[in-house]
Amino acid sequence: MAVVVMKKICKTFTLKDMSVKALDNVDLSVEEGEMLAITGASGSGKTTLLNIAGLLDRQDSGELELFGKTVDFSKDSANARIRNKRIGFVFQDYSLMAGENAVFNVMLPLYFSKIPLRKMKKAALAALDKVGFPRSHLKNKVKFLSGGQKQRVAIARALVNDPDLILADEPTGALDSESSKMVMDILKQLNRDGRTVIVITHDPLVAGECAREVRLSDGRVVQSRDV
Amino acid sequence: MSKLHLILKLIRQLRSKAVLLMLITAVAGFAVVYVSGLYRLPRLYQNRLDSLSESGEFIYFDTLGLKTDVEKDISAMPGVRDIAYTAYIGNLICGDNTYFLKAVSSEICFDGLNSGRNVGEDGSMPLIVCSGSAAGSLARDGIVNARLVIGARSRNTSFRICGTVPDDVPVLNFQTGSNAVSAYDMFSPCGNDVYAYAGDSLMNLLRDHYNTDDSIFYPANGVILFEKDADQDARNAVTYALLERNISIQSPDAIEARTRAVSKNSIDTYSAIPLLIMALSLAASAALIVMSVDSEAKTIAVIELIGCSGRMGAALLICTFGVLILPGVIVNSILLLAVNFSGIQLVDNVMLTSGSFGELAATALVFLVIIAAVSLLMTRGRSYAQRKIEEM
Repeated sequence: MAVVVMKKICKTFTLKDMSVKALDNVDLSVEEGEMLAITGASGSGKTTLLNIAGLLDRQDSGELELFGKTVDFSKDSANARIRNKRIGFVFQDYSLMAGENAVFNVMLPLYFSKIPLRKMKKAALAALDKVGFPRSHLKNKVKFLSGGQKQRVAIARALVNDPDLILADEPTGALDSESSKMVMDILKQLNRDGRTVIVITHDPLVAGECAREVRLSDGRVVQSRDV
Repeated sequence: MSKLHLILKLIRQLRSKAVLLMLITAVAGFAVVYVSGLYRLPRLYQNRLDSLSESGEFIYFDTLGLKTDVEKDISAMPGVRDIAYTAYIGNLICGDNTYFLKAVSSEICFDGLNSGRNVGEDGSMPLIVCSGSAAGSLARDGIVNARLVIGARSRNTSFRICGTVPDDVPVLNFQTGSNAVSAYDMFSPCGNDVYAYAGDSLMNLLRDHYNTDDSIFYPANGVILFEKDADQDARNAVTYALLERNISIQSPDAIEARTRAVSKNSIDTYSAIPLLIMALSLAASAALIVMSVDSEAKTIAVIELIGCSGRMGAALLICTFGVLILPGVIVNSILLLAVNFSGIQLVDNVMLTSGSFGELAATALVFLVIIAAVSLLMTRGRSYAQRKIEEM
């Protein structure tokens, strides 16, 4: 079954007086359990594609199917539930609450479920263990952690609700090679566990770790190949 | 329960900037009241002038060149009920310009030039209290020293006796704002051991006439109040008598123009620095609120990312935004209440408390809400995706 299906997706941004066509009739299908890399130059529409797939933005035209159902963007709460339960996000800038500790950041998605605080904490610790986050740093505020540790926290947060789909936008972009390898190893492990993973990257080495690469240029899919 | 925990966590994040925000928003709120005082001042004068000109029962005259004997003549004319001297903006501070300062405590003594003069059997001493340029026209010399007991406080104060008016009533001149504030404090009829009462002074008559407790003076140098049954001939006779003695009769328009000029001069002279400071605090407050709301919006964007709906995100943002401005509003309200309670109505001749406490607090609150709402709209108007694109 296809987890993500995009049909003729178009998206244009207007910044000041300038219109930028970020996505131009994009067709894409991502199968369950697949690990896909989306590559392309800056401004080619990679992040826009990921934002739409993650229900963070909506297309101007075209159709999006997630988990076998057509997405209705007017249903804000229902889409929020999908983001919360079935999708995990990992970003280059981590998108963490810098003033809070790792445990709280990982617990965040669970606040929108009816789970007691004690169980939330337990689940967060389990997720942090899974990504190899050191226990000695649990109470440290995120802003005092290294880039690699922050990304581990972000990945732990992404998987704490056991999602079906992981969307990672340049997850290694701000990391050194060792940390990058560690992040990719975790993402590959998550994929081996059965999760669908979509990674946006500039890095050919990162793309090479995925099973398939889709290349975007000027908002269009110009290449799709198995790695 | 878990959502409440989340809100508390979000609020806790603000604690580092809470004190700074509280102080700046409090000062900014106070500044709004001050600046709105600048706006209200001419309008209040205008209202007074309008009501006076509608009544037609007054003649305004210029006290420059007025001699005691002339005034005696005028006040003895048929139909004239009384004469009062008012001043410009400075006299806004005083609730009345004629007091009988009554020594109700043995700690109070008067000495100097006026000691023992005109002290009544009950120990009261008539005084005219004024400040600013009106008093200058009556300048004489003489000092009165008094030890005044105000509640639990006492202080030695020297007043300059700068003139006399009929019946040898000494005039106390408060030239500076701080003295004027002290004067108000001391002569306020509320709660002072040294208290003043106006007897049948003209301002009380004016108040009776307008059925008001307003303590704002009318912006003319002098006002002649006629008996209620005074006919037109009597009024005309007074007018002619003033003109014959080269005392100019002011039209309401002329008084208004002069009042505005004096008001502007006063504001230009005294208010530049406080205005600048308050304008800066306003700008700092606005910037800080905008930045804080923007920063909170980013946090909410993270929360939306992990599964919070847009509506709940907006609700969370409003909660945190409320926490941002409420302490400042509370401190500001306390500040205003303290100013109100202390009786200070003026900072550099600009009224702070001509409105009720509720009105003033509401003014500050509305200002803060407007800033926060604008910043809220600015930040909510951009989607998470747009933010990402702008950051790229």
